[in-house]
Amino acid sequence: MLKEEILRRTIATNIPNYYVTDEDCENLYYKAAANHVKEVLIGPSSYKTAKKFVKKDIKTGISISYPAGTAYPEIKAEEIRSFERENGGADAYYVTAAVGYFMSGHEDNLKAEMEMCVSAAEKPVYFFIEAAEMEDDHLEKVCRTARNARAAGIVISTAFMPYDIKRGTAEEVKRLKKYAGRDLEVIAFGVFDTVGKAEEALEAGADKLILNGINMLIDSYDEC
Amino acid sequence: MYIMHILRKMKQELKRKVDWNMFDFSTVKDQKIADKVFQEAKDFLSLCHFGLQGITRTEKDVIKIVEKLKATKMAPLAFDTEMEFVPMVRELFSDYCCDVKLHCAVSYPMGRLTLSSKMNTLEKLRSMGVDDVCVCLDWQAVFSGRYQDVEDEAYAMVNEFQSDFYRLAFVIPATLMSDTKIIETCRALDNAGTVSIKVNPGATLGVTFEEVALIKRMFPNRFDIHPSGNIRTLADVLRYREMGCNNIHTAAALEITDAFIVKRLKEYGGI
Repeated sequence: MLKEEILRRTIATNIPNYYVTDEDCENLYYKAAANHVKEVLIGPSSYKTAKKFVKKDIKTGISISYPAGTAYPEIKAEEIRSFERENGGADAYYVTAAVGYFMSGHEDNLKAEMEMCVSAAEKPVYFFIEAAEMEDDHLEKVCRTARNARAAGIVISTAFMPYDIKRGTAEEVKRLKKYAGRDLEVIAFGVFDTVGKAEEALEAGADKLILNGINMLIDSYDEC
Repeated sequence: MYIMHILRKMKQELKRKVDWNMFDFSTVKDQKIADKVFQEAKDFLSLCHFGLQGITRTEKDVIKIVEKLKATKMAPLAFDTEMEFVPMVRELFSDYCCDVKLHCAVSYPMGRLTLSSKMNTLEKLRSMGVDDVCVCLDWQAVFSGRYQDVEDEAYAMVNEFQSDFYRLAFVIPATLMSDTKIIETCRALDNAGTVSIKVNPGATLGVTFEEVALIKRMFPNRFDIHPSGNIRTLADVLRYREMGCNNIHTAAALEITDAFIVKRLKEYGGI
């Protein structure tokens, strides 16, 4: 797969990283621009430093309730609303779903958070789950609920490394894609930082790829 | 025969690990010593947090950990849980012998929520009757040296919420900070009127004795310091207590209390 094709479908991020300074945040945008990456995903408090890049060619996605996603649906929706009120520059929202609560049998909560967040944003809203920890039955329900709520897509993992959980691979992309249909994007995030793994994810059906550190991908491409 | 014996041993060991239980006081012959050590162990655990948090934790996981605690007939300083599990956990402790405070973390662990979202979450936790909270400061502001932003953020929350919770602790990622950054951040928190600082969030970032000593030295008798992460042994807890820390976050709280019981019983001649 061509490097340009991978980068065209890449979202650059720093959200799983503990150590992020204002300078790191700016550099994320510069690196994205230099590599023709069209979207950047950051935390809401990073927006202070990122707003100078708004209305340039790069879109900005904002993470909500990342990484745990354990807040009530109305708290997540209010997080979106208050961000819109105070900043307004987000192009999309990436909300962490209450995965453990959903797996405890609370589908009503998943439905509520998806509906409330989508209606609060009026912009594309994606939901992080932890697909590798979930049965197929869970994935089917997540996709059905997301479609009904008119969510834009599902991200296969939060890729937050301190969590002691299974990591989603291209296999999870395939499993999700089976239930996502055409209306729901599937986004790979996690262990896809080399050309080989990025290709695997895209070939498995991922519509996009979130990358923490574009440099690693570029370097590994150059080594090929 | 020998292989069967090894397999049986392994099975027993595995069962012991899964069904871990606190020391059985009925095995102590002297009832007075047993009672005395039980009371000391209760006091010891009452300085530690205990609980279960994380994205994929289910109700089943939480129920299991509550049962584990209830078997001890003791109460930690607070039981750490997620917002969505608060009603269930409260119900589970409703018939318990001890009063258990509930603790939730806000914007954990990197503090990337905006201030208004943090305030909104705290407001919700207050209305739910959650007793104790920790809030992660905006780490990007901390790492970037925007100390006025740190002070403003802390001040807003201190002003509105500090008196309504048993503790409102601000989490700083001390392990990722230089000494200067730790001091400047603590100065900002001092200016904001903060009482409690949680030193590190856990989640792979663990406290060191040096970090606590630095804050104690630079701000004597100023902060209530909550060490967190990387606290795995009785010796660790005892040392933090000697340093004046009475609010300790350790995932091994029950195992450490168990070690404390055995130590005391040995000292008193109970075993």
